[in-house]
Amino acid sequence: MTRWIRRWRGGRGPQERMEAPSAEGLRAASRLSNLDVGQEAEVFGIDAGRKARCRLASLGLIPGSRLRVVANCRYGPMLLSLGETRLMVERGVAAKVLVRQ
Amino acid sequence: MLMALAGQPNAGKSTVFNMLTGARQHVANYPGVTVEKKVGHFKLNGHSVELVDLPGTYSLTSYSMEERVARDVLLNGSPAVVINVADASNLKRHLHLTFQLMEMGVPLVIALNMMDVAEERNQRIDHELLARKLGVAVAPLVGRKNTGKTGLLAAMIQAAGESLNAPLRLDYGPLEQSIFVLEKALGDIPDLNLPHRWLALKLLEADENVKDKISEFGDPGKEILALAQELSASFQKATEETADRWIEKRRYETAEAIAKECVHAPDEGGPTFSDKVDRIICHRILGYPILFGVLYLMYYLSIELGYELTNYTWPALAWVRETAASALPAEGFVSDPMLRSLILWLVDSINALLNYIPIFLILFVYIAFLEDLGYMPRMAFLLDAFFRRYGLHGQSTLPLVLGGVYVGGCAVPGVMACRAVPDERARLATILVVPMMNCLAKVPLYILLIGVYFAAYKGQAMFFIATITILMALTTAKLLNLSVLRDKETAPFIMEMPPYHSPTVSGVLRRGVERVWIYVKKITTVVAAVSVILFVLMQFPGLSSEQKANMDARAQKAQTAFMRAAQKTPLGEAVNSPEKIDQLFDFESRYKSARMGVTDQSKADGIDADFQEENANFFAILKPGKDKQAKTVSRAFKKLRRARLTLRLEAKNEIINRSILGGLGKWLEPVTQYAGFTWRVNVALLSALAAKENTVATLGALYQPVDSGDEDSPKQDSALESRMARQEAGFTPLHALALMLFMALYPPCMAATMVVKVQAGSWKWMLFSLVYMTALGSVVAFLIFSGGSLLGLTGLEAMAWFYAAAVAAVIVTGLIRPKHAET
Repeated sequence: MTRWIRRWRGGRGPQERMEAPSAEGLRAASRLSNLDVGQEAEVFGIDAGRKARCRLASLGLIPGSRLRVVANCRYGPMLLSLGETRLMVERGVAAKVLVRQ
Repeated sequence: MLMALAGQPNAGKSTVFNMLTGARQHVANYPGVTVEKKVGHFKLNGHSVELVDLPGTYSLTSYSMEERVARDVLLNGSPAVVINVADASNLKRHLHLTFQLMEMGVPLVIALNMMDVAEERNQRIDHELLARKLGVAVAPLVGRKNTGKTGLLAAMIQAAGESLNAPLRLDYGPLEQSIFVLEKALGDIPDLNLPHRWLALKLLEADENVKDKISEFGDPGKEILALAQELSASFQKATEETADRWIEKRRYETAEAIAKECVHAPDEGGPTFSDKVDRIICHRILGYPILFGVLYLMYYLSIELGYELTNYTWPALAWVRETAASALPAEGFVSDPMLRSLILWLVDSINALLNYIPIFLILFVYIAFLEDLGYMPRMAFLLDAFFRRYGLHGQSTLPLVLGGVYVGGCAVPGVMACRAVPDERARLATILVVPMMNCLAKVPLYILLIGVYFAAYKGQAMFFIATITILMALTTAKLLNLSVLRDKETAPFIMEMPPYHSPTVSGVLRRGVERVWIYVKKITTVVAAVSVILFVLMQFPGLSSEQKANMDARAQKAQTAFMRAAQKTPLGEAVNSPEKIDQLFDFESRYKSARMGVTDQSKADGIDADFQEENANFFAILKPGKDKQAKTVSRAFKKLRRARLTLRLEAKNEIINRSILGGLGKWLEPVTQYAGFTWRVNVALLSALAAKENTVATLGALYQPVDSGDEDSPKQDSALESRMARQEAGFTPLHALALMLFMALYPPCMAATMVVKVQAGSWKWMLFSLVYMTALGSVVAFLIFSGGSLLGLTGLEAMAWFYAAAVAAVIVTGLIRPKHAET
């Protein structure tokens, strides 16, 4: 039952698989989607598809950029702050952005 | 001379566009796609310039329609100058696009907009240094305050003339070697008049469009593609970085370096004002009541207040009809001249839609206000997760609301608003389900049927019909996503959230009026054309000669009886021929419309005096007063009027009965009876194709009133409700329910269908939307009526079961996960 509720709410929960980050990254890495409101972090890898990556890049989100989480409600998209830009990123994509704090 | 405006979204392109052209523009679509194209004209140094506003793009890849369109204009339109509008307060990010424009080798001018915003944020921008660094002219601007125009014009003149600029060449470091090799290879292809360096970079990025273009050059093209692949593979091997990622990285590093030198800014502080507001507006709980309030206010202002306003605008439309009616040939005794019927039909059809203008004006102004404020992206943010589940998009909210999520919208602006949905699959899904919403014109039929067949449960029935459509739309959208739309392009939901702006009155009003005007133009032309076709279908072939002879004979009999009665009085002279009788009827109807709504006694007396002066005899017949003889004639006239009305309605009904549309309705009856539709209902539904308002009007013509006892207003017979209940004696609430649901799902009116064609970009989708909605509506109506009859359900039980089924369908389809979408 809880599984169904979780599916309905759209969150894939903690059992989300991690995709082979480098050994060095693994130590400090976290998924962007797991950050809380107000937390700051630096992007160090984007594991998303080409299209999503290009779109993120054109909005300024590339490895090396620093960001802050403005809103994250555990389902639905996240709201990020990158310099002067505010960015909405869907949860699925945010889960593929690796960050370190 | 062609010039183009390029820039990222929210850079203020539109303001610069209006500043240069003085808002003399026209909006169209780029051929074949739904991307808006704005074109305007102005004079520059004596030359007339055509300015194209390119779609706002963050980048110039080939991943989205907007970017492909923008790229196409830049490469194939060969503009004399490209004005790159950039946001000074966010320079680093905006330079990303600037670099790509420079690589395309177009003559560039940078309009550095929003200098005031940068200043507010304590950023000092050295635009002269920036110009030197980039090697292109930079004109600082404050578009909103209209300052900096002279500098921009001067820079444009300079750029259009001899090019003294040597734009910055980005250094791609270890990739330069590969670029050089590719450039050289490209040089060997003749007739390749695209910038080689740009092509080389795009090939290394593996851009699909460019690859296609190069492969058109036969074998040498293929060799180059192979070479590019080999070069990027070896680059990846050497640097452990793909070429496209490297290119992006270098662009950002360069942008950062330049921004650091040219912008003197304090370190980024904490959350801005917008961030603080967003903590509430985008809050996971608080956000929703606010959203609900914003939408409720929209309904309240437009539907409630707008409806109030139509009371004031309707007289103007009624006046147009009156004027047309009096200018046209007068009514005949049994049937009217063709020209009169046609023109009045046309005026009525258009008036029915023009009547909504106040509602749309308020609606569009309110939306323009929300857009300028920056609320739209917040709305998308809040609802994206929910809508995604059904294959829609956060941006689908507005189209659905405009279409009438609850009650009272219009599919035309709803479908038009689908333009904003960035994801092609979700956009098509939205376009296909918006017409299911309860538009204003469907409501009269609901009210009619609920009033007759669900009189004891009005509230429940209204709630049912108001909410069932969104439930069905969500399910349908999901099913479409899983079937026909499966292979459509999707885009990940990654959007910029612009900061809040305070909207200006003039800007908001201008856009509201602009959109109303577009609506009026689209509606009047389409509706006019369709209503003429419908008129023909409903009028021809007309009465048979026997019927005509029969009716004429009856008319003559009635007329003769009247004349004989009148002959005995001094008034007989005035009405001694059928022509004079027609004049008398014309006189009466003019008198009635003049007196309509006049409550002031002295005014009424004035009107009476005018008419008495015009024709004292006719007036005596209408208002016999105490004159005995006049009273006799007046009584005879009332009898004649009744006879005439009966004949006219009989003729009208007979014409529809024999008409092409009537034939079609009857031809369909053997099938539609399983949905509970009689041929009259079929005719009404067919006429609804032109405009949904027609349904009730056509039913009104079909259920002709039986001789009425009410002598003062023979035209306003007993209410349609009771006529319908009396004449469709076999009708049950189950019939009515099937009809209401069919109406909800039935294909949109012609105007909306045309907009579907424009927005979906093809006839194929338009036809598909017509076919699938008819099929869906038929299946639902069939299930309700035949299924309900079989199970012996009452209308109310069927309603409850259907609602439960719809809720279940929404939950089940919401749980279906499509095969993982490529992101």
